[in-house]
Amino acid sequence: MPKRPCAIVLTPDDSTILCADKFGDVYSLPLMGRRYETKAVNGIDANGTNGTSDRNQKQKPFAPSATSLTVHTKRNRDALRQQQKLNETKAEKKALNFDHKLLLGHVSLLTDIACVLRASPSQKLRNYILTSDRDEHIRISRGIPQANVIEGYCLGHTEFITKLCVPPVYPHLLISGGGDDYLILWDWRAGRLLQQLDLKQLVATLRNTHLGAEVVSESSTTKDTETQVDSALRICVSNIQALEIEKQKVGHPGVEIIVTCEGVPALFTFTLGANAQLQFNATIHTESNVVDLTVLRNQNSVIYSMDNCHQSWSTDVSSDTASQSPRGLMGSPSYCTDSKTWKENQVLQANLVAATRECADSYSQISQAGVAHGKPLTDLLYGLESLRKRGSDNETEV
Amino acid sequence: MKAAGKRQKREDYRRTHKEQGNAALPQKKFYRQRAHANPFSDHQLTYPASPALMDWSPYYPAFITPDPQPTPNDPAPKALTKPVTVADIGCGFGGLLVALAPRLPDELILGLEIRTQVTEYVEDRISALRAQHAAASSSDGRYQNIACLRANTMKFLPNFFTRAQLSLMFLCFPDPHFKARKHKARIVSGTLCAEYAYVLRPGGCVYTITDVEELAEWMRGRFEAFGKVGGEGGEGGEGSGVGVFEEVPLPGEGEEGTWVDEGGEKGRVGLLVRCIREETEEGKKVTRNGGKKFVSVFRRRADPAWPDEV
Ligand SMILES: C[S@@+](CC[C@H](N)C(=O)[O-])C[C@H]1O[C@@H](n2cnc3c(N)ncnc32)[C@H](O)[C@@H]1O
Repeated sequence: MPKRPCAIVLTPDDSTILCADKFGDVYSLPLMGRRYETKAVNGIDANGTNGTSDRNQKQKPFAPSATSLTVHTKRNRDALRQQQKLNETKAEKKALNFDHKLLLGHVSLLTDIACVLRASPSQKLRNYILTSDRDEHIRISRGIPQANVIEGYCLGHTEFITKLCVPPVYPHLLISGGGDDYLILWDWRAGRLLQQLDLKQLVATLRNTHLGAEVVSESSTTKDTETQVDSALRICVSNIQALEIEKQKVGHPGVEIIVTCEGVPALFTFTLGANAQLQFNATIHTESNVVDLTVLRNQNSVIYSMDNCHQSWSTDVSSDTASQSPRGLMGSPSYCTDSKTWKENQVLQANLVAATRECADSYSQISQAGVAHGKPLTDLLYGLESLRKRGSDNETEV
Repeated sequence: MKAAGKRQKREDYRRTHKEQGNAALPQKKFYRQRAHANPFSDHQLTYPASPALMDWSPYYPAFITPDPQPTPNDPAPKALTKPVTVADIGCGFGGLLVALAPRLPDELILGLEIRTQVTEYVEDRISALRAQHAAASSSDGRYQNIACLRANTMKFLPNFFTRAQLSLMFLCFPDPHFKARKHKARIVSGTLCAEYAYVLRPGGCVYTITDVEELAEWMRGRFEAFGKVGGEGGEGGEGSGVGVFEEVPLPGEGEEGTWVDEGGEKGRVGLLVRCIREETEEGKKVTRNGGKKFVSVFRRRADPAWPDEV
């Protein structure tokens, strides 16, 4: 791909890959794509389409972009001179030799993409593409072949967005999260914000309990640990997953939403019902910080992976492995439809432990051997927090 | 040290300018700034999270909807009697805004500019004009219908405007970004056309002008291909079928007057084309240097029917 992919998804008919990248563009690629043997000629793909540069210009003999009469700055004139010098010799970057098409683009870094089918007023199916970016936007576009039409935006986040989740049972709803304090529930086709859920409060409560357990002496002075929120605490949602709960008999409204945050040793679960409201269900404590999460649709279960290189609640302080028994790499809670609570899935857990034991050993060896540690390791496991803006304004005077 | 001294001078100047009741037109030399601001970097920008949260009242104080029972400390933004419908993207020092104010008296016109000092210059220029013309016999001459704010339009247009809110957009003498590597920084691109189409109402127009022929061709290419089969979003082939934008016929240089005399839609095109040729700061510079100006105007069509509707 021309730029680093940030998120990929299949269209609902399973025919096309949509790839959202670091430069803000979304490309479509057929799942069963062809490769072209022929080398690109002068910046034009073998199939005659050109993804990135102006084809007309390339085919014409070189003419400078502006004349000496052109106004504008000294810098522009310098650029022009450079262009004149370079043009003859410059080798065009190799074009991609497989089918791909630019569908849409944000002037930002894309963070997630979803592709959803919805019924039209006449009950026919319509395709939509949802894209989120680092600049707080969620864009709703039509699907292929009209992806150039923007239907609307879901605007309300105040920091970068990292995740979009359209639950399978309620595809008219969208749950989004990222670097601000809130999960937001949307009626995405209307661009309407339905609910804002204070995730920071949940994380802070858990963290205070953790700190309270460690720093016993302070617990007497701060009575109200439950509601105190550390102003330095930053939330960064790393995943939002929807788990469909079989509805029959048990009276569950349908979907459990599971949320993870960078550097937080817990899963947060919410129940999403037909009333289009998220209801906090439970905090599932985990042994170490959660790195990622996936759902097992037919088993009412999720599997999460953990970071056993860093201390819980920290994304950079390495854990003191010598003083600790080896920690697990994975966990697997299940939703119990009888008690409507989350419980450890012991069978699955045992299988996971067995399957990952070897991996866990080598993993801790790797980190001990210093192959990956320090900042590179933090960036690898907790890359999303780096999307936060630092408020630098690099404008300077003449 | 030198820079600090300069800043001090500038701040002193701006303060005295304000204290003197704003009536004197500001001097450009106190608002100079580097010619380019990187549209990709995170400037310390202020923008509403969504258009509904935008408080326009400080920008168009003459158009605030009177509130019969004002609630003290009401955090909701005060509503305007009508929405902004005209946007000058990258308005620079505001020459076009000032020219449009009396010519489009019924519209609220907004200049958007990414450079802080330049935006401040335009703000001071507008408040000076408002002070000078406060007693104008007709409200058309009071410059109350123009304003300028700092924004990176390549990222945040949908934070200010809702779908189909605008009837006119101007892209005058955009920075050319000659190097192919920098084409992504151009204010017109295949993918940005989607956002322009989003904020423009069907029937609304984009006016473009540049003195760089290659950029003129580039912009025309992007608007023409946009929305066509094979041309969508991308910047490659011309595509086929009907696009989202259609090019509007224009008066030649010097013919604007006769178009204006004809009135109607043609008269409006003539008037606006004359404005962008003659009233923009860059347009004046190009005239002084004897350079050429390339104008093109595109009208937004209605969105195509959904595939299930045809
Ligand atoms: C060459 S000037 C033209 C000014 C004015 N339109 C005229 O015709 O005199 C281009 C202007 O666009 C502004 N600009 C460039 N990128 C921008 C962006 N992303 N958002 C807002 N303004 C931008 C620049 O700061 C500059 O003032």
